[in-house]
Amino acid sequence: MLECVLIDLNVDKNTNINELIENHMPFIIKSISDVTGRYVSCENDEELSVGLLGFHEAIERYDNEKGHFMSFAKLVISSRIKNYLKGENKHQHSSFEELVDKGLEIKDEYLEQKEDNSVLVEEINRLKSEISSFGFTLEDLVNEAPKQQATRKNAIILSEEISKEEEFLSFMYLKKRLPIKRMVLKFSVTEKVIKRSKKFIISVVIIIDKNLSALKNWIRK
Amino acid sequence: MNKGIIMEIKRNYAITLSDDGVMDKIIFKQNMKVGQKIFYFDDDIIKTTTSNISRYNSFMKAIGSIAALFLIVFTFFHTMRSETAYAVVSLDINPSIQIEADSNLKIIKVEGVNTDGKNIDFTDIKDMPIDDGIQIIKEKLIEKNYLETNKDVLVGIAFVQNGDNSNYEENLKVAIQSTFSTENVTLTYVKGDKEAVDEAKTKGISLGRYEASLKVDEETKKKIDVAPVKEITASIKDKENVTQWDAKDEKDVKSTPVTNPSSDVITEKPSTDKPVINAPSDNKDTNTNINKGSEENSKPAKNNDVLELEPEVPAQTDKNGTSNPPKKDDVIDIEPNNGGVIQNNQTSGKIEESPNATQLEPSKNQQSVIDKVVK
Repeated sequence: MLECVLIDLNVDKNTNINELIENHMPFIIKSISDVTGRYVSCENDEELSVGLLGFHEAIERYDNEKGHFMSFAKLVISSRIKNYLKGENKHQHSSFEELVDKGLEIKDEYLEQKEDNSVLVEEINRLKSEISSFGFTLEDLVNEAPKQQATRKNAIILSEEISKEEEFLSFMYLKKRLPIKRMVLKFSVTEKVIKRSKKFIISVVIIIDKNLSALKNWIRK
Repeated sequence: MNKGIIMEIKRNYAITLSDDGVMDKIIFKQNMKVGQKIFYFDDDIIKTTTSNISRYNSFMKAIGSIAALFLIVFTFFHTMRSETAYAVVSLDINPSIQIEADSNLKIIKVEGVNTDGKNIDFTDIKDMPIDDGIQIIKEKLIEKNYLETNKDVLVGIAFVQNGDNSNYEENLKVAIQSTFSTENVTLTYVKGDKEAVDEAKTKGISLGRYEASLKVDEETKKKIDVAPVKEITASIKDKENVTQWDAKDEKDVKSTPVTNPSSDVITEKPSTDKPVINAPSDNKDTNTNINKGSEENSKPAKNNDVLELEPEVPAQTDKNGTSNPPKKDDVIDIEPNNGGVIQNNQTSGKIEESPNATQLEPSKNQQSVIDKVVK
């Protein structure tokens, strides 16, 4: 029962079951991913619903004699996921509805509406071709994109500023590099900051300027 | 936990753009699609920096281990190779010393053979060039006054490997002679081979003494291991394959003509004035003896026969237009005479003919012979 779970996890006794689920979302997703061997998709994924149901079931059936709750929950989730994978093709029923029936609320963050991927894929390909004309790849971005959230935020703001300046944009597309000197004068930032994350800035400028809306929304979120 | 869009899928990893703008490499899992939004964890992220470092480390490890392996193998081979002696040189003064050298005239091993030799410390000579080594040996001998009392040095040289060693031997002798030339000693060379080295080793005597023992008379042979060097050298200096070199009259000896062409050792070296007597010795020597003996036997015999012919040799060659040696006179006769005459009287015909060749015209002589045949 929920009380036993709360005692075992040593959390506040007044915790709601939805809050508990919310707090353990990474755990649930990890358990699912471990069983399926795939990444769990964000978009209204059946597996995620099944996993949530499994977690809910674990809470219902748990008592203190069954050891730690986390290991017990993991066991239940994985067996539910296995059952789901076996019977996946046999009966099509929406476990999401089942969740609603049981009074569980899942945040939109985890269950996005399934949308057409083709726009996103196209945008990704456009971005790739654009940055390859600037002489780098996504892999370089992985290595060189600023790791600190604050620097990243600054870089995104800077990119937005640049994309408003027609002069800078034309320079960038023509010379395939950033007008660093003029940027320093105009936005009063240090040269070091720009140079360190120039590839990231270029990518973001492209995303904003070419109006790759899906990616733009994703980053700005 | 991160949320990200899959941007690119490679064989072993995928690149995602997380919702806060970070690009990550994540490990590949099934059913990935570009544009898919997924949850991924820090466990899934490939740490590029660390993986680079580990790759670099493993690369360095591989390089290092290969280098170490090469080092081990080469040092092993090196020691193995240098252990194989190319030449063995023994010096008998009173201490008997045996030197082993490799193909680069470098000393591998020096050891004293008899008790006096063993009392001298030669460890510092190892790995030196042989001329320097011998120089140091000489200094050690002078220090202990060995060269004061003994003016005779018996040098034994043997080559372990077959092949053309004359150059090497030359170098060796130059090294030895230049070293001992200041000390007013007499060097006596004997030459041995690989078997001699082994034999000498089993008998516990130096190579030089062993070689000498094959040449000396029975009495000295019995006490070859203790006999004074002077005695040995005196008894073998006239023998086959023995070269003597005296520091005192180096120049004189060199200017004297070489009398015995039997061994290559002697041909290029100052040698004994006395004629070589064929002494009984080991099988190596008998070969040369046989050759030499046959040469010598045939030579005087021929000389007797051809004695009168000798002056006519040039004339004969002129006559027939061929340059055959006088030995084959009979063949020359056959050609113009169609072989008829020779069968009748070989020697007399020849003897008769040869004065004719010088005094009379050859054509007449030939015609008369042909007339005879016709008749």
